[in-house]
Amino acid sequence: MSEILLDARQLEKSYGRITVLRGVSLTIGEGESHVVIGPNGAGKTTLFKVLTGELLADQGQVHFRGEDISALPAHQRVQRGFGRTFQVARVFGKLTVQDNLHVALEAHARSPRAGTGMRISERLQALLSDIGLSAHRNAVAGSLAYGDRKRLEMAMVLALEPVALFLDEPTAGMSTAERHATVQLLRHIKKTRGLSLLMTEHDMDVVFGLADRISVLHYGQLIASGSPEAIRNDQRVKDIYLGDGDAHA
Amino acid sequence: MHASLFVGSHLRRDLAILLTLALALAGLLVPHLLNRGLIFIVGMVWINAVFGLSFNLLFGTSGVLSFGQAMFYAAGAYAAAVFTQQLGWPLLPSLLIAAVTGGVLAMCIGFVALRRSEGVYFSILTLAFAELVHLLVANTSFLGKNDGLSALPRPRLSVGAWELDLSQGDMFYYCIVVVSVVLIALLRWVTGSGFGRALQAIRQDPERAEFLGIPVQRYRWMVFTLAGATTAAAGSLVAPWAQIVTPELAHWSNSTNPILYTLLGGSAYFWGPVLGAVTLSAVFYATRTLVGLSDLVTGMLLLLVVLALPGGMLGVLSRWTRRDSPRNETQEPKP
Amino acid sequence: MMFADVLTLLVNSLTWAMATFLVAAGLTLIFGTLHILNFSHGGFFMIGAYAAYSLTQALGGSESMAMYLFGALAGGAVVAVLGLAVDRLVLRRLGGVDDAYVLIATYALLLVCEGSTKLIWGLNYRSVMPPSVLDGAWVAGHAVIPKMSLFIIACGIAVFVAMEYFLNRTSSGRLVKAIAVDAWMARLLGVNVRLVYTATVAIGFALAGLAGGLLLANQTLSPSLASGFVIQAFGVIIIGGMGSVSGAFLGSILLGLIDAVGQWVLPSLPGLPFFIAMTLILLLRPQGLMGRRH
Repeated sequence: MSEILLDARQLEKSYGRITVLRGVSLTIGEGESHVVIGPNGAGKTTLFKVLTGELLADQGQVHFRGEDISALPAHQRVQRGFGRTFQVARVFGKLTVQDNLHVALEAHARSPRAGTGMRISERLQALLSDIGLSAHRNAVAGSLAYGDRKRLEMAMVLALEPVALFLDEPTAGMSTAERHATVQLLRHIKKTRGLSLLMTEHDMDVVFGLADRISVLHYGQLIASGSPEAIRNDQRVKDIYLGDGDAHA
Repeated sequence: MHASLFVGSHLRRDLAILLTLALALAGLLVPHLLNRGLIFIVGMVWINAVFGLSFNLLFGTSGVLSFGQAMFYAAGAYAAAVFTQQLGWPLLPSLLIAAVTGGVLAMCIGFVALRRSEGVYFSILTLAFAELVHLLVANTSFLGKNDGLSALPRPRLSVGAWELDLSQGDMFYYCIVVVSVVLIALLRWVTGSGFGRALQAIRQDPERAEFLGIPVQRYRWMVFTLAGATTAAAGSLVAPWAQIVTPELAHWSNSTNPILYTLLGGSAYFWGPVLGAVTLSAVFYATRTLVGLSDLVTGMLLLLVVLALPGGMLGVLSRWTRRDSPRNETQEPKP
Repeated sequence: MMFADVLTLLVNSLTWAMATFLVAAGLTLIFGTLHILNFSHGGFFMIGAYAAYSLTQALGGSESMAMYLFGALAGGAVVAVLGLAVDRLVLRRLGGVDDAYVLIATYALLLVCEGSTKLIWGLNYRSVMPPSVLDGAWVAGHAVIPKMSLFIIACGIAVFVAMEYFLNRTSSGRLVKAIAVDAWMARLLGVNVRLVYTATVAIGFALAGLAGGLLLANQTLSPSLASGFVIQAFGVIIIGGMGSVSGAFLGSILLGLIDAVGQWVLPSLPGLPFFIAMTLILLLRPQGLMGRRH
C-alpha cells in the first residue's frame, strides 16, 4: 500500500440550493480497500458519482495516478482503469451472457490500455470459467438469477482489467450467506489482481470484513477517515451512529 | 462463438449475404417481367429499403430516434440533381458528393443536437432542423424554390475511359440495384461489426456502456453521420430515377416513411425495414385509387404494430417459428 | 416606422399567436397531465373544423354569429367524443410503452385523421366566409384591423382565462394539476386517476375541436391543415414549456411577435425565425420558459 492511486480534494457538489458535498477529500492507495459509510442522505452516492465521472463536481479536483481527471467524462475514466458496478446489477438484459462479456472485452480492446496478449475468444473463455458461468454462456442475461447477474456484471468489469473498482453497495439486498460469499469473492479479486477497491456500504460486518480504511460521511462532510480500529473508537462517529437525536435526520 | 443475440452476429453472416444476392438477382429479373410503371415503383422500393435501413441503423441498432431523416434524403437528391444537371457530372462522382453532403450535414447537426439533447427533445429537435432545411430549400432560387428541379438527366456511368449511357432502357434500374446492394451490404457490415455491437449495447443501457469505457456520445455522433451519408446516397438515386426533385422530399412526412417501413417490418431485425418497404409499397400501390385510403391503412397498420405487435412482421414470424421449434431454451438469433 | 405599421404588426402577431394558442392549449394540457405528446392533435383540430363546416353548411350556413359559434361548439363536442374513443383504444395502452413508440403511435393517429378526412371530404380546398358580424375590418387612421383577427384574439384570451380559472381556482382543476405532478401519490390518496385522465383527454380534444370550429373562417379548409398546425403548436409549447398552459400562452405571443417581425424583416424566408427560435430553445433550455425538467 505504497502509492496513492486516487486523490480527491475539496469536492463540492450542489443540486440547486442543496449542498450535498462540502469540501470532501479522500485518498485511496494502491491495493487498498476503502469503504465509505454514512447515514442515508449523507452524500455517499453523490460522492461516488463525482469520483466515477457520472457527475462533475462544482469545485475540487480528482487526481488518478497523478493525472487530473476532474473534467473527464466517465468513459475516459474507465479507459484509464476504473471499473464500476451498480447497486442493482446492470447488464445487457437482451443479450446472452457471452455477448455481454464480448462487449466488455471489445470495449477494452479499443481502449488505450489494451494489451496484446490473448485473443478475445480466449479471454472470454477464461472469464466465463473464472466466475463460474460457463454453463450459462448462451443464457439471456435478463433471465439469470440475481446472484448470477451480479457475477456477470463483475466479470464484465473485470474484463476491462481495472486498476480501481468502484462498488456501489455490493451486498445490497443479499442474504447473510450471499453477503459472506461476496466478501470472500471481493477479497479474492483484490488479492489476485492487486486492485484497489472503493465502495459504499451499510452492512457493518461487510465493512469491517473488507476495509483497510474507512471514511465516514455525514451531511456531505467527511468527519472521520482512518483504519477500522480508529473509526470504531472515534467519538464523533459513535455519536452519529449510536447517540444523539439528529443522527438519522 | 456459439449463439449470440446481437443483430448481425457472425453465424448468420453467410445467410445474410446469400439473402442479399438473392434479392439482387430477383431485382435484376424484374425489368423483364413488369411494365414501366411497376419498374419505377420497384426501383423506388430499393431506394426506400436503403432509406429504412439507414433509419434503423439509428433507431433499432443505436436507439437514436430521428424524426428528420428526410433532410439528408433531400440533401442527397438535390446534390445529385445539381451536379448531374448543372455540372454534367457522371454517376459515381455525383453519388459520392451526395453522400458526402449528407454526411457533413449530419455531422454538423449531430454535433449540435446530440451534445445537448436527450430523448424526446432530441427527436423533436431533429424535426425542427429538418423543417429548417425544408424551408431553406423551398426558398432558394437556384434550387428551383417550390417547383424544385426537373428534367433531370440519367447520367452516364464512367469508369476511366469506359462509359455507359444510363438513359437507355432499364439501365438505370440495374444501376439502382447495384448501388442499393452495395449500401445494404455496407449497413449490414457496420451492424455486425464491433462498432455495431457497441451501438446495440448503447441502445440497451447507455450508462452501462459508458461505464465499460464505450464513448457513448461519440459513437452516437458517428452513427448519425454515417446514417446521414447513406440516406443521402439513397436520395441521390431518386434524382435521376424520378427525374425531378422538389422540396417535398424534405417535408417531415417523408421523414416518417422510414419509420413506417422499420416498425412494420420489425426494428429488432436487420431486414425489418426492407420487408416493411416492400409491404408498404404494395399497400400504397393497392390503395392508390382511393384518395386518403393509403394514409388511413398505413396509420392503422402502424397503430396495430405499436399496440399489439411490437416486433413488427418479423417479430410475429419469429414468435411463430419459435413456437414450432422444439428448442426453446435459448432465444434463436435472428438474421 | 409609423404607428399604423406597428399596430398592424401587433395585430398580426397576436392573431397568429392566439390561433396557435387555441390549438396548443389542449396539446399542452394532455402532455402536462398524461405525459403523452399527442402528434395527432393537429389532426383532431382539423376534424373539428371539418365537422363544424359540415354542420353549419347543412343547417344553412354560418352567416350568423350564433350559427358560427354553434358550429364551433359542435366541432368541440364531436372531437371530444372521438377523444374518448382514442383514449379507450389507444392512449390507455400506451402506459408502459417506450417514449419513442408513443410518439410513433400518435403519429399513426395523425395519419388516420388525415386519411379519414380525405376519404370523407375529399381533397378540395374550401373557403368559409366569416359570419357577417365579423366580416370586414376597422380602419384606424392608416391601420386596417380585420374584425376576424380581433375575434380570434378575444377567443384566445377567453380560452386562456377559462383554463387558468379551471386549473387554479376549481378543485377539479387543482386535482388535474396535482396528478400532473405526482400521479402515484394521488392514487395512494384514493383518487381515481384513470377517470381524471379520461376527463383531461376529453377536455384537451374538445379544445382542439373547438379551435377548429372557431378558426374556420381564418384559413382555407383542406386536409393539409393538420400538418401546418402540428408544427406550430409543437413549437409554441416547447418554447413555453411542455405542460404549462400559461407557458403556451406566453410562448405563442412570443413566437407570434418573432414571426411577424420575421415576415417584415425577412419576407423571402417565411417561418425561418420560428424554427430558429424553436431550435435555440431546444438546445439551450429544453424545458422551455416555464416548464420543469422531466
